[in-house]
Amino acid sequence: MEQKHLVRALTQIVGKKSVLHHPDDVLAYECDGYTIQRGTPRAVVFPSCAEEVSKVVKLLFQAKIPFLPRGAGTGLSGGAIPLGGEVIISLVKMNRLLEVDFANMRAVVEPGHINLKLSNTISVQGYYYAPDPSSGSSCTIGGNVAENAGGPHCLKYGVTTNHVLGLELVLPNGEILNVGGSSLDLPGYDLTGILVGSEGTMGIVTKITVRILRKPQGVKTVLALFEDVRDASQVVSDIIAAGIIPAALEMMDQTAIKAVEAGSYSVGYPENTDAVLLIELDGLTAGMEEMAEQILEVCRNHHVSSVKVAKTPEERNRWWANRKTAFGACGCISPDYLVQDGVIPRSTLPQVLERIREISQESGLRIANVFHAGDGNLHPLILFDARIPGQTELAVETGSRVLQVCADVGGSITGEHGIGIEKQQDMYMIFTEQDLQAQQMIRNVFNPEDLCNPGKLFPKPARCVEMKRPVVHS
Amino acid sequence: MLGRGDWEAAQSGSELAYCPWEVRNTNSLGVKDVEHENIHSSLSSLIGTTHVQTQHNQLLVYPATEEEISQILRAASAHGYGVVPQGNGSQSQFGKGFIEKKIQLSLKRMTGIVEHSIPDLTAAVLAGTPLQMMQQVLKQSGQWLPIDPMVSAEATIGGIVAANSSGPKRILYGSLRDYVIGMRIVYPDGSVVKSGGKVVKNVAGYDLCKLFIGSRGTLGILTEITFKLRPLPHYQELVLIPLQTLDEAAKLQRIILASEFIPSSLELLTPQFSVELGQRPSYTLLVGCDEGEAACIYHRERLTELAGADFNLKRGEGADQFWQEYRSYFNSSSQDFLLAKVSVLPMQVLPFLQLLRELFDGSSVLMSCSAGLGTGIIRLTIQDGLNQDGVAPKLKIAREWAEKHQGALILEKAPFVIQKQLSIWGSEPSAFPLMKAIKQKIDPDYLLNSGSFIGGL
Repeated sequence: MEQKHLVRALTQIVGKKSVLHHPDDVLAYECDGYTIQRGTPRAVVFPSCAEEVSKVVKLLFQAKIPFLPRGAGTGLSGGAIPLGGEVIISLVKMNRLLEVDFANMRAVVEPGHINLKLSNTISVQGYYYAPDPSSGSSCTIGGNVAENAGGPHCLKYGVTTNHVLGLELVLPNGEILNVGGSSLDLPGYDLTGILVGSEGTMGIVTKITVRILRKPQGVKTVLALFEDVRDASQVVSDIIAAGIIPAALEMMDQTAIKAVEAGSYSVGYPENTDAVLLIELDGLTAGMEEMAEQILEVCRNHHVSSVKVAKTPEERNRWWANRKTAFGACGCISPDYLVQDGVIPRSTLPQVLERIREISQESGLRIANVFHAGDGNLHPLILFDARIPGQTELAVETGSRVLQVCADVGGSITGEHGIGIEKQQDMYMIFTEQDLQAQQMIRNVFNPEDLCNPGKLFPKPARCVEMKRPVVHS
Repeated sequence: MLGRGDWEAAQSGSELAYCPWEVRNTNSLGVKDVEHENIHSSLSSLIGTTHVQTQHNQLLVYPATEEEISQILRAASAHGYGVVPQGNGSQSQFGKGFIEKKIQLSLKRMTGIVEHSIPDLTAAVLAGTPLQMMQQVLKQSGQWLPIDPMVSAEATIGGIVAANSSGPKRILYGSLRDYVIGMRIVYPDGSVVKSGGKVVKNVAGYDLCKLFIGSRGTLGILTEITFKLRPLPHYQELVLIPLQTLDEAAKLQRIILASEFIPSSLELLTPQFSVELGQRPSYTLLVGCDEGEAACIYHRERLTELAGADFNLKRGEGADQFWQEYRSYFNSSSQDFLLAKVSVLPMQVLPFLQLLRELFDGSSVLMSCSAGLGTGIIRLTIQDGLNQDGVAPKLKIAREWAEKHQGALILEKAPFVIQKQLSIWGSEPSAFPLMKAIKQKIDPDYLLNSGSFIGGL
């Protein structure tokens, strides 16, 4: 189909204002939060309801034009980057909160609804939506479903898949379908479970039924500073070993601390701080004091240099803002940075940190470590300067080496950012050809012609990565 | 290759209600015998004669490795036999299909904990391991897999995952889909596939594990499952509050769910069930707390404010014992026993109980329920008298009500006299064509446990 015919047909479905096709207009859609690779979309459409999504998809399906769904574009693995002239179906206009059923603790949202907005809206009644990715103030719940997003508080409450009960979906042939529902254990295969985290390769979600939770009665936040990162690692292990599952258990190393202190939400960590732990307890206030004391005790047993409990909500918020803006803050200490995302068995933390330090030395690139220590999810941030020829490639390669370390200790190559285009080849670190074929078998059921977000998630036969513009420029 | 007959065709002889294929197999002995001999010797050469048995003209194999399972599946396929996986067979009454030529594949020999990483709170377990055995091992390190399904002591973890079983503590801990982090599966073509891994957070590739949890062995044979674990609660209490009416229960349900309570169970027992468990002949509301001693005291005080001090209390092991009795109630080996699992929204639970009361009022069958007021899952049992007319039609009305309210009613155990009047799974969901497409993609010849899942999958 010729471009002008395509634009006309799309315009007929969604209206003139909801189609972008001029090269200048689609520039912003060349990449998402992963900026190393870019591609130009054929067009960007903004449907306002499932029926419009369905019509657009049917049109593209018939014309055999590839397409991909996009939320806020905060994804970090390039899942929404159009590498093959896809039409981008942006879901930002489908952003309504359709229904909140407090008594049954369910909410129904459209995919473009902003993650944090849901919690904010239902907060007055004492409820919240648990998955809290650091990008929560801008990312969409539809995108969270695609990536099976996590966040600091997933240690106790689980990731997106543990909170999604049902979906309305437009299949890659345009058919609208419902999977799951609001009751539990509906008969049949758990299609909701397989769709969450499928990175937009099985269809386009148009409605999401989520579980909402009652806000806990009490929250206690502990900030502990260490002069040796190994002590902090040991504290993480000992807290879990004591039978405590905190709501969150976050860690930053020295380089990351330098970054957040240079950022907009500095806390004032002393110069010699080698690691920071941010530990949060929640639940009934009865017994919480004792549990907090237990945690303080564990910290003291491991040479904590300073440990305190947040006295006010403002103090707590400050600590969290400091932590949650850590990625961006790396821009204050380095021209460019690459965010990695690996998972390791918690017990291997000290040895993995040591290996990362060695890799950093060998590559000559600084690596800042920010991680969800409680569940072993590391976010090494590789700092580099894209203006120096070869450094971008070196940063990518260094990231891959870090992932190999994670894989070697029995971990995973991604805990919450997804595979997208970034880690397609890295899939071989943890899966065999047979494993990958089994996954593609399922994709072929939903997306037999591979028109919906093609060329993502699975390794390509031959590696061909074209480096374009570098990562986040600050 | 498979004679997937309908319910009607196989119903002759209700005393054999749980294994109707035997009725058929005896019909044409000659050819069957030869075929049986062939497959028997073929299987024996693969895994050794002692691990291939014939019971009641039924082939049973006991492989010890994934490789042996692969070989068995290939041999079965070549001989035109179907394969029915089972753990210890404790839940095998469930959703049995009708396969003329089949091999029962038991995972009894694949038992044990492959890896228990105590500091990581994870464990990889062979699928034939009984859950109870697994929990005992984990307990030594102060950990557990936080599920409390209504199964017998010998039930294997593989069978429990395949059936997606859960129990009252689901309100706090969630279900198997929240704890399975990795799996090894033998596919119908004999290939071995790994999904997930051994870390608690992982979004690499599709989460195939979800597909196999609750798939009733219709897609592949689970050989090893890796779980995320939890620390065992330091202390627990169970408050048992007698209630005269459903209205009282409704009031407490709303308050408890909408306030600071963190119940580890919130079940309402009907009077009949209360009596069976040594309580008064009234409704009994069970409110558990696993949050430590101070929290338990707080819970108790709050409940006293709300419902008065007239309650029973079980502490620590007393609570465990109570739950053990509770679970055994669902494991009747009687042929005249029905267990249905109903799933509705939490706020529909009490209206559903009201409906059941109206339906069974004046009926002579003993119907009792345990209703999860936070999960929306109701377990309904009927003991004795299932031959009477009217039971199935009543359940049919109950199912229609549940389905109308976005829920479901499935039969977990039921004598054949009920099964011939009421399907096990109820209506097919609108996404059924996709489910069927998945089955056909993974198991195109319907080799595995065919006909035992919804819509004949």
